[in-house]
Amino acid sequence: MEIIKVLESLSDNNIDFVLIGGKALLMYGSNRVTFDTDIAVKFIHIDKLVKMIYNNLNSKIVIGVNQEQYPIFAENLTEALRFVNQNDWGFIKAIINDLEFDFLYDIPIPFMKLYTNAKTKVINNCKIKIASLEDIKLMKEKSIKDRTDQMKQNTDKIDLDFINKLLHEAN
Amino acid sequence: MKNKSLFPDIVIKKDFINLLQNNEQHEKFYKSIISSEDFLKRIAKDFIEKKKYGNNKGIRKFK
Repeated sequence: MEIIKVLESLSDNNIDFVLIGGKALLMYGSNRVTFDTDIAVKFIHIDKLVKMIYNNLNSKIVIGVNQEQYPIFAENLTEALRFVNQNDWGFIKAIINDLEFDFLYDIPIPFMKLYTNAKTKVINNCKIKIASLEDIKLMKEKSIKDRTDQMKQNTDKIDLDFINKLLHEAN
Repeated sequence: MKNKSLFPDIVIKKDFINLLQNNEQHEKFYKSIISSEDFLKRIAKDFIEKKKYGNNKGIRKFK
């Protein structure tokens, strides 16, 4: 499974990470199909992350969009590192084996708080941190305000409804 | 003292690996039924959207 391979690779490269967004909600029982994977990473691990994407996973990051509205990829590690050192958008978008990954390092919760609150699961000796429901709710509430894409806004609403339903049932 | 969370402790599903696996299959299926152009355009659209609410503070320049 690709996603597990990516999470294992993060762990092998000593990159602290927390699974967030729709994929994390899936682990709590959400049945919404997600089309990408959101992973929060520590800001100081960005260079290690980019090296991992190029050297270990043989994949690429997106560095822009051309006039035809297609993504522009950094073709090699040097170009990717130059991009992340000159830009600070708070996220790195990578395509790994045809799957879309967003690595976010500018999130509304301090990374260490997110990391400490996260639940830990072990898969193949690899510790996977999954964001707490409380933190996912906070991030969803923040992102829903920032969205301009109606479809993404709708998925945030679906996720918030799911979280609120779980909380209601548990109380 | 740690603040007590108001949130009940809702646990991760026991079959979370299967849940991830099924979702990945759905994701791959979706990508198999759309053209690669549409897939790439979706990625580009999301990149632009995220850049809009990214702040590009340039912290890394002072690293």
